[in-house]
Amino acid sequence: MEIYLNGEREKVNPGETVRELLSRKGLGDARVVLVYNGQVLPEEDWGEPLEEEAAVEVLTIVGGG
Amino acid sequence: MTKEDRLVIGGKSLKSRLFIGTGKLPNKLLPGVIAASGTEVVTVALRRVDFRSPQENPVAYIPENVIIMPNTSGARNAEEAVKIARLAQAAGCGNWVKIEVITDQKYLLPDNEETVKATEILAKEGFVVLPYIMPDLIIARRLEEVGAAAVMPLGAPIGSNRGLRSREFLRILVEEITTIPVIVDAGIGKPSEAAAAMEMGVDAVLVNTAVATAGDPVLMAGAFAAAVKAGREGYLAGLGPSSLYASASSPLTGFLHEVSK
Repeated sequence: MEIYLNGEREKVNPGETVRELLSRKGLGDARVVLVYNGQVLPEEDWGEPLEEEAAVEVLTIVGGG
Repeated sequence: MTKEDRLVIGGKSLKSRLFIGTGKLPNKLLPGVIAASGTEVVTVALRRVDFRSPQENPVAYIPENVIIMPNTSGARNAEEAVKIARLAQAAGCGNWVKIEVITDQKYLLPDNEETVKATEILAKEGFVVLPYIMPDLIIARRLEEVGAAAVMPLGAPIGSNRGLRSREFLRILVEEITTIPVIVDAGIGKPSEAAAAMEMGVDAVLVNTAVATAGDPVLMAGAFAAAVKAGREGYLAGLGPSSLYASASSPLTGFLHEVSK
């Protein structure tokens, strides 16, 4: 199945959780904010499985002026 | 100078009047730049993670006693700015926010009207809001009314290092905006320009590109700290009057040729 990850199509395994997705993407322990279908998803909910066609935004703090 | 010269914003009492932007600075330089600048407020931005080349979060390099102020760069209107501010708070950035609403990509000039709208919403939600603005007295007054914690007028376009091009309008803001601090944000390219801004009576300056693009950013951060301190003390001391004509510094009597006559 597929989701939208930061605006791009991304294949995910059925039943894959948010935490597993982040880990697979090399962000296992990075400090990020996760927006799931337009809502901030608190870290305690990152064990929930991803839904087909979900829009997932992964945001982080970067240098800026 | 009194020992109690402090800049108070959002209930915080700050010793340093130099804010540092972390853009274009490698994370490993951050601790050195922050220490040399003596800054107590740094700005950061919020972005989508780039999965092809993930960047390391700079927050780990910022000492805990330094206030992290996310900006809303990337926002094209008030609604987007509000959304970014809330997300940055969810990312652990506290409640300070620099409003930056930009639609002009050539000069990156701020949209003052949308900035007022975003400031009003976020101030009501309890954010400490520091809006980046064109140096416009009417807008600055409206921002005062809607609860801005400071106003941050530009000296020149972001990243241009062109100095205090807006000097006359900054002067008006310093004179007329008296209930909240006036902080020059953007354009300051040299320590001497930071000192000049402080001498005019602005409350603080925000510097990013001038430090980040210097040959030695840590040394430059220290130079800015010294300049801001010198300019502030010059302002507090009260600048002497200027004149078109000479005014002798030495006494005009008792010249030696009078003695030898």
